[in-house]
Amino acid sequence: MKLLNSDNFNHISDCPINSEKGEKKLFRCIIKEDIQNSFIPLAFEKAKYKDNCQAWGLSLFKSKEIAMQKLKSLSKKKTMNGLAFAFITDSNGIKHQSGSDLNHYTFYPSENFICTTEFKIVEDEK
Amino acid sequence: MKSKFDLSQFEKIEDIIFIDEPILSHLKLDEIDYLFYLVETTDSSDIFLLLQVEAQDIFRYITGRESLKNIISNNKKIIIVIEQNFNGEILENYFSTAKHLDSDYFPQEDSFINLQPSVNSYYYNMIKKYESQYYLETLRKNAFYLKFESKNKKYGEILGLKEIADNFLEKMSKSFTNYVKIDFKKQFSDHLIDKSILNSTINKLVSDLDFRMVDLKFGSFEIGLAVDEIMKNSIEDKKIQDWAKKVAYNYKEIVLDENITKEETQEIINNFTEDERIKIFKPIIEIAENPNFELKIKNDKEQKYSSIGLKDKKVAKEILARQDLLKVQKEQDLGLVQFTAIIDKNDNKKFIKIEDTLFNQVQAAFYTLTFNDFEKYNLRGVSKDIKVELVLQQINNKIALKSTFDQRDFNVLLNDDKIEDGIKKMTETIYEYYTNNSR
Repeated sequence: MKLLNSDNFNHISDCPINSEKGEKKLFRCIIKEDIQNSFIPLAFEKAKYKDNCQAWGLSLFKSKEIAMQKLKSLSKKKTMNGLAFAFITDSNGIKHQSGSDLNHYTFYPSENFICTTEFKIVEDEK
Repeated sequence: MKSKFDLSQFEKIEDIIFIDEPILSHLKLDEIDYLFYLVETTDSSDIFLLLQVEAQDIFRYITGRESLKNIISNNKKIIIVIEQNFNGEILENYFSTAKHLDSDYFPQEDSFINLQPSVNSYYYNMIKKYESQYYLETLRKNAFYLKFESKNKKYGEILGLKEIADNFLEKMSKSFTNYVKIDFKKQFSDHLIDKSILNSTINKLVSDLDFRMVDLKFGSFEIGLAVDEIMKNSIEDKKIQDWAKKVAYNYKEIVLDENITKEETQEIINNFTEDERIKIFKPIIEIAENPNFELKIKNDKEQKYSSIGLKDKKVAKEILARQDLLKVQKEQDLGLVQFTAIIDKNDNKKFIKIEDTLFNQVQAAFYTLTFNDFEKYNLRGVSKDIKVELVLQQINNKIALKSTFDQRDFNVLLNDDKIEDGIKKMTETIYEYYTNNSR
């Protein structure tokens, strides 16, 4: 399975680590008015992250409630203002829990997984 | 303007919020805690707030007790606003205060989170440590204080362990436990009709209802006592849960009151039987009347101590007053109590009360009237096979005798504890019916 943008992070060792097996419903914080740009890894935008494996993935959360908490803790100047979810299977890419927050996942989609169509927007968000 | 501010001197503890990148990070410098909060991203730079916080603030935020908005807006210290380019270089920084910050730099009002840290997380142990401190501080805010002093100058008024245990703690505990059991029975004997369930419920609850010792001072023994309402939430029955949250405070208000008025004394006499008053008030009166010690109370840490109301001899005497049973034939509260008979090989019998609690009562006892009973009362002419089942029942603190003979019900209500008289009366009543109907 070839991961999207993998040419950009192949140079980083053990990136990404092994995937957690099984299908999982995961939630992402998005910009409702700009879905296209809601799934671009930050490493593209910020040079300081180009050698950071996690910055080539996408942050996802285990539940709508948890994702909503994160959204409400963003400053009002931050542009993320909505949630979207998808059912991520083993063939959709690599996903694993990351960081010290057990509810946080990093997702590296496969080339065939189109985030903008696979993720569905959640109503009654921020 | 290029800044010489150096973020590398700060130790990064962990990212509290991470969405594709660190949004809220916990930093430390010289044992002081900071939050580093990404508030804005422009086309070419990020804007952060660096604010000094207390560890407690972080604990309260990650456990959902405080919002991030309040943590920032209530911050009284200088906040550093830092602009950093996408290469990680600091472009500019300036000082501000919460009051002067752009209001859009704050999160929403309900910016609460409930972090679920992994076992390896810094916050895993931090939460455990602060949960117990937080619990204690919450209890202390609502504590009242008791002071038990020695009047004996021999040891400079410093109490001994046995003195405290024998003359104070044991009696306090006895009084409180008795109050809890008596009050529970009063409140729930209708709610829990089955006496065995009533009994087992209160016995399970007693330790959970205990006051928590949240403060302590040695020498002249002072303790802060509080009611733990949080743990009471584990009681499933809502009515019992509500009662459990109030019972200890009620005990303090009634029994440890600083000033028991005439009306309050009368209310105590009306609400508790003589036996109940002895069980609840006598241990405290014994503490109060002990000439070697002084018991005082105050309602919070800042107040001054006062004597307790039961120290007033007149009040104590009224509450414990015994009535002269020989002078007045008064109505008695009666109950049936279960004893077990132990018989050894030599046919020696010994009767033992099952347990010394308020709840060893039984609902009914049985007795069979036979030919011999009728003969005993000189009631002759009944059949030698006659057998009449008598049921002795406790009804509203009186004893009732009931039987059914020849499909007819017979009832005798006792106003005193003379069971034998009741049985005789029942026998005579049945005999009268028997003789009238056999003619």
